[in-house]
Amino acid sequence: MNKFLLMRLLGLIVVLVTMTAVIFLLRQVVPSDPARAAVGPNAPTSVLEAKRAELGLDDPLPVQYVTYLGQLARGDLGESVRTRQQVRADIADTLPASLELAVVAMLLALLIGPGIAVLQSLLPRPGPLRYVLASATSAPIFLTGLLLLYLLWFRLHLLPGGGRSSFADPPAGPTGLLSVDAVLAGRFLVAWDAVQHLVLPALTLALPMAAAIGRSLRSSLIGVLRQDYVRTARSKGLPERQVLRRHGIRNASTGPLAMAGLQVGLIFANLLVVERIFAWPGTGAYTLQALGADDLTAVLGASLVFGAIYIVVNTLVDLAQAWLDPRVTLS
Amino acid sequence: MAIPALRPRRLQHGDVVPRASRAGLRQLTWFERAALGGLIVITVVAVLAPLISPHDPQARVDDAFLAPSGGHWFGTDDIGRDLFSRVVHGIRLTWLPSLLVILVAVLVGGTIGLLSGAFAGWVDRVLQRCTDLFLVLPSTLIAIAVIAALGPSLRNTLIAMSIFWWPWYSRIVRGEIRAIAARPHVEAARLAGASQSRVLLRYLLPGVVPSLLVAATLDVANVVLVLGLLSFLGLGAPAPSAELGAMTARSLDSLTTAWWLPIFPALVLFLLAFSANVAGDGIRKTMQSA
Amino acid sequence: MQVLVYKIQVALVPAKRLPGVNPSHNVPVLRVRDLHVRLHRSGRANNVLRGVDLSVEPGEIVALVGESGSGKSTLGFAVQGLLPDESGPQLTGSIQVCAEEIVGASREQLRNLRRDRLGAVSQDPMTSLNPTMRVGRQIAEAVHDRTPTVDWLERVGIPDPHRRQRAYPHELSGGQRQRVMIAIAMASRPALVIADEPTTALDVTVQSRILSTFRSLRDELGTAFLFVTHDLAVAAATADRIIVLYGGRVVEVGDVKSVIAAPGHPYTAALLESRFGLDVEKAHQLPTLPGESPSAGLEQRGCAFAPRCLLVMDMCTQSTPAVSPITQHDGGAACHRAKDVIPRLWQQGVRLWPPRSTHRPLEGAPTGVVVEARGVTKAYGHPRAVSSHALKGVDLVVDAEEAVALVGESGSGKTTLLRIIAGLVEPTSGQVSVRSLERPQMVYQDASASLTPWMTVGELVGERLRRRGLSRSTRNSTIGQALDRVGLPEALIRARPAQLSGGQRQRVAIARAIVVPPRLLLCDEPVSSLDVSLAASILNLLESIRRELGMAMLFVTHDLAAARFAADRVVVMYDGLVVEDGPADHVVHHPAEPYTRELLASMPVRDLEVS
Repeated sequence: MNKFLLMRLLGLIVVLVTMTAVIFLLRQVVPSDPARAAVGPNAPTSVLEAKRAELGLDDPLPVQYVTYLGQLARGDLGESVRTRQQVRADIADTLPASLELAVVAMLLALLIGPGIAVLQSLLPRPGPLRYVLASATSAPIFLTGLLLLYLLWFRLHLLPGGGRSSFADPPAGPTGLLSVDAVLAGRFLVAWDAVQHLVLPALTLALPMAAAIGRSLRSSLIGVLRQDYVRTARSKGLPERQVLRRHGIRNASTGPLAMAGLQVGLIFANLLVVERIFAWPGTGAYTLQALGADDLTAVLGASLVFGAIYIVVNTLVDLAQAWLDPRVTLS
Repeated sequence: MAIPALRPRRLQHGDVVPRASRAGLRQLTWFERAALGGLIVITVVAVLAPLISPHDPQARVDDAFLAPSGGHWFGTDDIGRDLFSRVVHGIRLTWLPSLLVILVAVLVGGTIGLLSGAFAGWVDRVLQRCTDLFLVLPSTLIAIAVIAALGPSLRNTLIAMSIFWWPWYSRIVRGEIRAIAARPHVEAARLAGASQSRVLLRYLLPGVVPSLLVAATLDVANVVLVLGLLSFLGLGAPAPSAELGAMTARSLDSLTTAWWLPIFPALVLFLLAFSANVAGDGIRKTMQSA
Repeated sequence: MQVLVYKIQVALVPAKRLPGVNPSHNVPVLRVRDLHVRLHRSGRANNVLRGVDLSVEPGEIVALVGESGSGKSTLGFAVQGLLPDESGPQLTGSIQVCAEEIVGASREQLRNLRRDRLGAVSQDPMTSLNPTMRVGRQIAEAVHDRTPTVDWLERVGIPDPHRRQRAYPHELSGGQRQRVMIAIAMASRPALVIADEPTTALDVTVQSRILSTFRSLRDELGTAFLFVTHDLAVAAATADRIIVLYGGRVVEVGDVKSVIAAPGHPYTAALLESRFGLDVEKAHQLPTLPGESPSAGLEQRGCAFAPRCLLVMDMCTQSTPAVSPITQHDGGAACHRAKDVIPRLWQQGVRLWPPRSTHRPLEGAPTGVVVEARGVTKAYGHPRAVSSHALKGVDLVVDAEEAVALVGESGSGKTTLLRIIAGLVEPTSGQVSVRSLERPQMVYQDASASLTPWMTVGELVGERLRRRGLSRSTRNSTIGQALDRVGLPEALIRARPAQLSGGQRQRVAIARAIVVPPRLLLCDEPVSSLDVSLAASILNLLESIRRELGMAMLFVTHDLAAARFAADRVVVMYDGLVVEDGPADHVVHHPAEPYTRELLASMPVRDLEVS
């Protein structure tokens, strides 16, 4: 078991390093010259040369890469051209909002997706439910967001239309997660309001993930339910729910689990869209603004952070899969 | 009494029994068949867009912000351009590049998977590591970063997407090839003296085609959606172009006043993806039963 | 050695007295009346069962014997109410389990019946157990009283049950997995257990032990068994009564010993005579049934066996015979000639299916050695771990035009040796030389898997003719000749494997191998996945081709009877080594080694010696 763990951790590090290499190479591609940007358009060549040497731009590529890795290790993600602040600080400010959204969305997805899949398996006839999943996976996320916004906010006035809070002075709190902070501060109205603000964007973010996970579970289940051992379980006279639960889902979960891990990677791109539509002040909105302003440093910094999160989560998913299937660990 | 003669029987060769071969297509629901038809319609529309759209997508033809009506099926936008014409061109700008990305991914990924699966050993290991690396990296994320670095344009978007799309096909093809190669009929071919290239082309490759076809058809929907997403983020073709995602993004603020502006392009994207998904499911059902 | 130790162990542990089943003694546990089952596949309807009547009394072991297409497995599933929904099953007639009706019952009722009254043992223990659940728990799911799982494990003969109950299925051997399945089936103390080919996937030595476990469970607990099998010998070794199924109908029923001694139906007689024992005449061809088993299909008038029957008369194709009493034994047979011709033939000792012509004798004295293997070893993984080597130093010589059988169970290394000689696998050490201009060709066990599905028969058979500078017409005529030689019409050149039957596919595979005759023909269990009646005709074919073309043949089999019949020499292998090597008759009738004796003892064939 330990060898397996070790191999996985090693793999984790390799992938993280590869990602930094990719990001590093992307930095080199940018047509603009960081030295020129630092000293201004009018500075004389000598100052430019000096700046270039100072920034290490004349060093061979591998050396620059190592310097870059060193910067990353210290948490230095560079300076945003747009906000003129440290990217690290910008991201630290905005990340909690995105995490709150992403985690709630993931939880919703893990509830809704498998729920629909199990429902479909219990129904004797396929019926229209089949197309629900298909259409949910086909809907662009901005369509669902806009439709939800239009119906539930604009037409029906059930939920707020954007932002994190209707209050002017929400608690800045220890966790950065507004709902939690508000509860901790004893301001329950604020907390309730924060939750209401969470619903639409989290739901929008959750639906495509739920659909993908549900679809994966459904097709996995179909395959598993055809297996001989499910027939054995049925021949014991077990109720169908129990057959599904103990013999079906457990053996069908590796696929959907992998899909869930994959979805974490897609959250990032969807986050950009959702935060834009619902005016959510998270890292996604930040990145979108950076994209619009050609602020490559910020974009790359955000990509690095999200990428690292994705890779770590996926490794955890791998380990969970191994734990679920005794054949994998012991091999 | 004499023993009745036992009538000797000629050895029956057995007639050729036509087993259930082309029963596949019969199994599709009307819905799936409609979706397959829809795909054909969409392709025709995409190819013939300039001929079909009633107005020039870039030209101002009427007042701005007109609601959908008989004259303008999808209404007009903030500059007064006919939204329907723009959407028709948007279909072209989404569908044809999607097909291109899939084609490139299948060709590149398929070739790499074929070589990887057929020539085991170090070739396989090296190619596998490459593929694995691509698969493990967060692709959409890095694609965004790549496009941002290279400069937003349709060409760069397609390049970035192609880079990240082929590994999946390489995996599929490699898996299929290895499964087929392990079966006795390939071994029998080698024993019969078939050359390496003949085994590859005649004994291995045709077995991959069904699953590749299914995977590619189902994947069209994914490409369409990702392309739409990237376009929404502003990473596709620049401003006045009639890309569906971009159109939605640019008219977000009009949601409450001119809902047709952001909704219709997004809806059309949905229809493209949905048809591809349902049709893909149908093709999968056909392949599985054959 | 391990084998003997195990036997002693089991004998010393006293079987725990477990309370038995309480059936009501006047009601049959299973009663099937006029059952018709129709299934659908790819939009086509198949009448799998066409009016079946049978019954099983409490505590009886009944063997349901039939070949592929007879509908025997479908019957087993129908009784449990487990016909898959995807096949759109349609049932008419009656199935009563302990007097409760199954046809038309609700899902709830079926579930309760399965829980309380029925048990099932399936064919493949590897896929029939949940791979992610411990076996103890899987047994516990079926237990409804307080009996601990450990008791059941012990009762079915699994050593060290306390530790084993926490094991996962893949940690157990094939035989142990099957024992777990039996425990699961018995744990609810059912009145009836349906066993579907429970020993087909197991080695012969394991098989005999499992069969005796069934018998002892019945003796101790009074459970009735419905044993579905294609193997008459297995039926003879285990069952009290036999029911023979053909084409979805019952053709014969009766007490097993009597039916085997004097069958009433031509099909049963054919099965018996195709199923060769250890004393069949070697130089003759095996008696075979012409044609193949009918695939379930459209409605049929008349007797399903008529197309293949030697005794057929006009009435047979017009009206379906019903099972009626006969003179040979107390059961019944469904044959219009059961009352007139057959008893007379039997009385006079005439075999219904006389052996066909003798084989052509080999011409001239064959010279030379075709295969010479010395000191061959093969290791997968660590070269140091000698005990896990597939081959541990094997010598083998095959003379020209000689037929040699490699016999052994799984893990003996016989297939590895075959593949090394074929040149497909490199030996780890040792020398192998094959003296033949043409590469040795191989015929595989699974004919469907050895034919490329998307290529035509002509293309497959003609593969070896490519790049020899032959004109197209020469190629085509050579292919035609090869097809003709294996008994296939030339029209099949344009057919694809999916359109052919199982027997036809194996013939195509043989045609491919001999289209340019090699000096050595290799066969990997060429008939073990075929129906018995088909196996005989394929063996005949191989033998006649071999003599006609003067090829040496090396074939791998687990069946000593087939080996003895088809080979001049038999080589017995165990655990990577050659245990015994000698002339076929000699090895089989005067085995020198204890392992060979054990193999012979495990074969249930003895019970079938036809007088």
